[in-house]
Amino acid sequence: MIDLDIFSQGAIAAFIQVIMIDLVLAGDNALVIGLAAAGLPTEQRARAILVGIVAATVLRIAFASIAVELLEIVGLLLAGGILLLWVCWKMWRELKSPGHKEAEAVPATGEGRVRRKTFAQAAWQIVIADISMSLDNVLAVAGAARDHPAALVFGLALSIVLMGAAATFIARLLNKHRWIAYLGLAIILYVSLDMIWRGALEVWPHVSG
Amino acid sequence: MRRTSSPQNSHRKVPNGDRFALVAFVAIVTSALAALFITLPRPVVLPAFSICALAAAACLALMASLHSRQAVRLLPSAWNLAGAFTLVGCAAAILGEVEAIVEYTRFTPPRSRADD
Repeated sequence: MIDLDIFSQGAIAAFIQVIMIDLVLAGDNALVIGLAAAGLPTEQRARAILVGIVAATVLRIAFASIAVELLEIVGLLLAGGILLLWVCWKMWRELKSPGHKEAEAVPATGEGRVRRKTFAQAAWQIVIADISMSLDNVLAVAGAARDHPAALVFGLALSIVLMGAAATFIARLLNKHRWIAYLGLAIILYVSLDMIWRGALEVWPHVSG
Repeated sequence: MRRTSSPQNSHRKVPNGDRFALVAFVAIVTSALAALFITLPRPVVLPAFSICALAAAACLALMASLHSRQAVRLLPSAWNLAGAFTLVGCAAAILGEVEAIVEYTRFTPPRSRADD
């Protein structure tokens, strides 16, 4: 039954759960958005972060509305993991590209920097990563707050704010110290391999049986 | 003759009080993170670590944005540290287990007498 009393003990517990889950699950989105936006000029960086947040929000709402149907599709997690692995590969190639090294060699004073990455490339990477990660996030939050719609809405709003702020801070840091991007990339690689592993475990009984 | 201030000179003008406040804040947050690591049960260490680091990043960003434009230029470390704490918070969040949080914050309704 849907609990409309937001001050009941159950609702407060759901709120705490949703806040914690959203804090935990917005991290990977924020990291990918920050990594993808880091190579862009300041004005394009803000636009790329906005694109990432809007895409993540729309995808979360869309996935939440068909969460039950999505749960029945076998291999979705595996496909998401492979997609994220591809994004990692693209980011790795960008970091290793000669244009990027030239950009690092020039002092980070702003306008004189060599920039190879375009806004479209960054936006594309962000949207693909959002698609693969939002599904996981929605299912966890929907499970925790299914009887408390207010907590669900609050959780979504919180994760949007968190993603925007965290992605901005990370992009700002990576713009000055690009070597830290390798660390971020390693974390995203871990997320993609984890998704592939869990997805493969889910698919295996269907393939072998 | 008027002297023009170079970026190196402007860095020297950072008030000692601001620098001390920044170092003290980082020391407090680091101690808090270490305390969390020691005192909390293993499954919730990383989520708690993440929340603490993200809160520290928010405080640092607030601190940097409350300064005037000139002061922000003089004190870039606050923004850098906010970014670093955000990265640490995100990494801890990603490596943490969501199931542990759900289990830890689960609400069990009190049993009524009719159930017994």
